[in-house]
Amino acid sequence: MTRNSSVALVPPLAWLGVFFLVPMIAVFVYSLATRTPGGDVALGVSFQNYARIGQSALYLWGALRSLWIALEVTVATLVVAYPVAYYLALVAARWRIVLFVLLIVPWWCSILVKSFAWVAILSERGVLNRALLAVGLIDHPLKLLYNEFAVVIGLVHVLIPFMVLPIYATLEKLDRRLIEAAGNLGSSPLRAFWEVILPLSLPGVAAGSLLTFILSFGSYITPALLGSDRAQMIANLIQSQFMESFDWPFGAALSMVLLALVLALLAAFNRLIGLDRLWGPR
Amino acid sequence: MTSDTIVELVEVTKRFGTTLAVDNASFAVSRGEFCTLLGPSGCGKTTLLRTIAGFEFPDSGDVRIAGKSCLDQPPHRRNLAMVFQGYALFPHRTVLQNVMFGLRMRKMGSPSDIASWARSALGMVGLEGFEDRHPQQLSGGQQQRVALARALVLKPEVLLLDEPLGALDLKLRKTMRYELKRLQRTTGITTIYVTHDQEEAMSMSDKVILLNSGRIEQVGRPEEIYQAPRSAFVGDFIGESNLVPATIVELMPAGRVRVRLDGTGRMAAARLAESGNRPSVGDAVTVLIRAECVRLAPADSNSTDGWFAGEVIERSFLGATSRLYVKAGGSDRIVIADLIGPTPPWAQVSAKVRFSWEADDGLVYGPGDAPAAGAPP
Repeated sequence: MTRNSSVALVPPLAWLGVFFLVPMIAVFVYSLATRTPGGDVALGVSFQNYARIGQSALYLWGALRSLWIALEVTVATLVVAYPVAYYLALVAARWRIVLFVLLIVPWWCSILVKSFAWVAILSERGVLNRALLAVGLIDHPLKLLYNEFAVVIGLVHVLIPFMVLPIYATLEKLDRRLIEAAGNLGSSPLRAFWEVILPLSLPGVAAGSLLTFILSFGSYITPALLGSDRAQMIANLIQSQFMESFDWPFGAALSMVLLALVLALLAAFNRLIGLDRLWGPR
Repeated sequence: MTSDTIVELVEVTKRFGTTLAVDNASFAVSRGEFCTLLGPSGCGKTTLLRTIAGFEFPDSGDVRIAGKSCLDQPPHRRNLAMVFQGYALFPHRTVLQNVMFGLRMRKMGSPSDIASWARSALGMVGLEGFEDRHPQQLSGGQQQRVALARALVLKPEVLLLDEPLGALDLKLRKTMRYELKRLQRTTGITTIYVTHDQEEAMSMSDKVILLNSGRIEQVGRPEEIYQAPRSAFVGDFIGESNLVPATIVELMPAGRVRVRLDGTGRMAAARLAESGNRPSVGDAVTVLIRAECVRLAPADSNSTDGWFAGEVIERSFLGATSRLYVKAGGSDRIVIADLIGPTPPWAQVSAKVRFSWEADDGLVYGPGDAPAAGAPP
């Protein structure tokens, strides 16, 4: 590595150190501490917080529920995002830039705003129920909000760009002559998609799915606003330890477990596909 | 069209935006023929090939295969096989799967038949034992053979080749030229070949179609195109030629003319090319002289009338021949002369020499034939 490039690495490394590594170490230190009966934190080295996680089914269910919701969100996002990415990469010509802006602009808008928008759409007197009542498809409002369905919809909405962009990147780099070759060799367009385009875009699908899965697995705001109190995700359980039970050491231990689960997922992905695929096709 | 015409293009025109890629092109390819679309880049040769394959739709005109218009057929319904520039092998499939692909898509037989045909096609191109490799694990020449096997195994009515040798090094390119030609002759398959390499076109083709900015300049056997170029462009593109601007001074019987060469003002004899345009006295024309038709002599030789003085400024040894760049006396014009064998001792760099050409070797093209610019060194 040249001297210049090491100098260039200083600002990002400093940024990561101050805003990522130091807080992370603080959380780890807290996770080994204990809470005094008075509610203070006594620093030390104790694994009792971790032991408590294993003893309570609540947290195991929280983690399993989070995994399940993350899986639902990933599949639903893939179904919505693949056609969008396909259209952007292989069909859209003149409108590509406009469509990209339409894809990215909602990303800049706060998750809170997006979640409240879904409250307005899905609530008992929301846009959707009123429309269905007005048309006469239903006699009384459907329960669409504060359940898993609402959480999944809200997360899909937030995470679509994370799925579209990696798939777009692989499709965009796909050699168009391969599609033409498939046609020349006798494949109908549908067959060519199945035999050539889809298999060659799988690295993008894998990368987008990983990002979507991890981001929805650890999501906090969307389930807090759109989910039910009884079916919380793991990040909400962590939040309640910090802000409601004031048991910071136990919340910290839960955070470390969440981090470990995500790292395990990344390791598995790296083993199977390679993390460098996240930055685009080889 | 004759009875054994297999592919016929009728007045095909294709625009991309405001660019005229193909301008009213018509030609026919006979069954079993090796036909080459030759021309510089951007001349429309690849667009023509892609139009035949169905990847481009002409703005006007018709493409007929075996006598029937195929414009209403999408690419996958046309019984053609194409070898793409860069080969377009499927990277996620093995060599054998690549060769089997078209057979599977066209449902040409049972799975076991398909596998055995694909294996024998790989044998035909000398790639036994490579069935389970992936294309990325092969050299350029081997990938080229896979692409060829993938196309030939379909026994298509017409084989389309888009600069198939372009990515190979010179030595391999020459070997593959011979092999391709041999495969074509033994299979008897009608072949349409696109290249910008005149040597490739001349050495392999039964028929050459020379294109220039979307228009067909000349159609003919390689010998015809070389010996009787229809335009200065053709003469310049095929072989190494000198293009000298001149003015007609006198028209003589049997197509002979006397011209005044621009720049030096010297007179020279030449003959009119068979290009349709009949220039008259006073017209600005281009005289084309093949490099191998330029005669050279030492400056002190007893040369008669019609010889010009010059100075050798550069030479290159080409093996069987040597090429001399001679600066004509009294002008900046460089004349290229090819001599058989090594450079004679009196023609070293900066030697004074004389040069001339036979009247029959100076071909005169009228004002309608735009001369191409640019001559070495």
